[in-house]
Amino acid sequence: MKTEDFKFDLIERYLAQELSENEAAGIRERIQNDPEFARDVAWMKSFRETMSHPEDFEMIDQVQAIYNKEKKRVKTRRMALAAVLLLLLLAIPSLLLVRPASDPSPLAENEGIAGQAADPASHLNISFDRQSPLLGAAEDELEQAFRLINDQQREAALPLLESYLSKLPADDDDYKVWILAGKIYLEDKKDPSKAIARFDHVIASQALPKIVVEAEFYKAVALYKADNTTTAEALFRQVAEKGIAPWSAKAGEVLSIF
Amino acid sequence: MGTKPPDPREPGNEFFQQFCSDRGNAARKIYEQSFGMIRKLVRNNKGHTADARDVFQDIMLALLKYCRQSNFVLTTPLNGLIYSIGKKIWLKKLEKNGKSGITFQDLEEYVNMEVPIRLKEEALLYGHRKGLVQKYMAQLPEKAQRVLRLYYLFGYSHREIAEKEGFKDELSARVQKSRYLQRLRDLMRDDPDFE
Repeated sequence: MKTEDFKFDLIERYLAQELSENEAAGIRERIQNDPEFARDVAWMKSFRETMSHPEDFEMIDQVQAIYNKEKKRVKTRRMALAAVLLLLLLAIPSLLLVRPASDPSPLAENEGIAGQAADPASHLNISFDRQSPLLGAAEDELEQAFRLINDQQREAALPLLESYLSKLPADDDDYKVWILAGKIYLEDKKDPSKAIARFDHVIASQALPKIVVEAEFYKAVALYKADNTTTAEALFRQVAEKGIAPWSAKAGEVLSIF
Repeated sequence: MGTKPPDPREPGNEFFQQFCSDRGNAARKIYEQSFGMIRKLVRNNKGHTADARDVFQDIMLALLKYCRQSNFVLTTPLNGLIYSIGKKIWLKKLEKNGKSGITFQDLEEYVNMEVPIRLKEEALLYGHRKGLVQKYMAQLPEKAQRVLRLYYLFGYSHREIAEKEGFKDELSARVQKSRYLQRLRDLMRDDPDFE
């Protein structure tokens, strides 16, 4: 057994003041004359201080597990999105063949904003036509809600949307549905404060910047509806400055009437 | 939506107490409600999402420190405390990386929630050091990790470790532990963040 095998045991006993006076004096002398040994002692001191409170290390494990799960979720969503895009690409030729001439463009919701800028709330007329293959009870509720929305029964859809959101796993939030619920509170229930709470949920979340800015835009509209025009204006300005399409342009249009 | 669960964005001590008593579930809730805020803060100030993850982890450990202070009562929204801690930790990291000269951009929507807190440099680096130790310990063999954890985190004696891990005697456990420490020291030697 080499002396070096005991080095950290010796340092530890020195730091714990378990050595005899002679042994401790020997260590002190070595610290003075051997910079590398002195660094080892300093490291050991830091290490001993750091190795306390097991719950801290459990927390690190928990946070890492959350990150790993989140990464996996994002990866799965990207793969699902890629699959949907591929299906759409394959379906486009047949859709073009059967689409009636009077069918409105799915992009109509984002067009013609200049003519509507007199009222910021005029941008709320957004229809949802989400028809993705959904699984599970929560998703059934969501599909049912979308059917009601498409039938212009938006208030009736609200409890279903809220129920769907409450059932989502903690790590699998659906920010677009939070925004939709907020918009129904704002536009149909005429309750800006509840709408703002839904938009705030998205704003404080880990959603993509484009979704966060959408929530910010609608929060600004809700603030305007709640007669909080100063804060609304500031938020519209913040959205306009972000340069994220189409919300920044919309916010710019709204600002021109303030 | 039925009974409203505690929300870290709302004032009061309730959510903080829940965090202290049920860390696993509360950590996830805090991540959902607050990580976006921290990511935005970090990314607005020369950082990336990976930096935000480190800062968030450090914040959680700082919150645990508050849990251990029996007289600590939170009177503001937890998010205000999280924002304040996160800002200080990120400023400290910027300083360590020689970027302290930047004009720090607060998040307008949260700056009013900021809580006046005093954290010494040691406290700001507390979570960071723990994270580093965890990272490097994970590179040691399983047995080495177990021995170090048993001794330092759970207070086992060398004799108990010898019995549990099958070492010949107490002395043998001491020598093995010293060797494991040497290996850990070698791994961490070139990391300037752990001084």
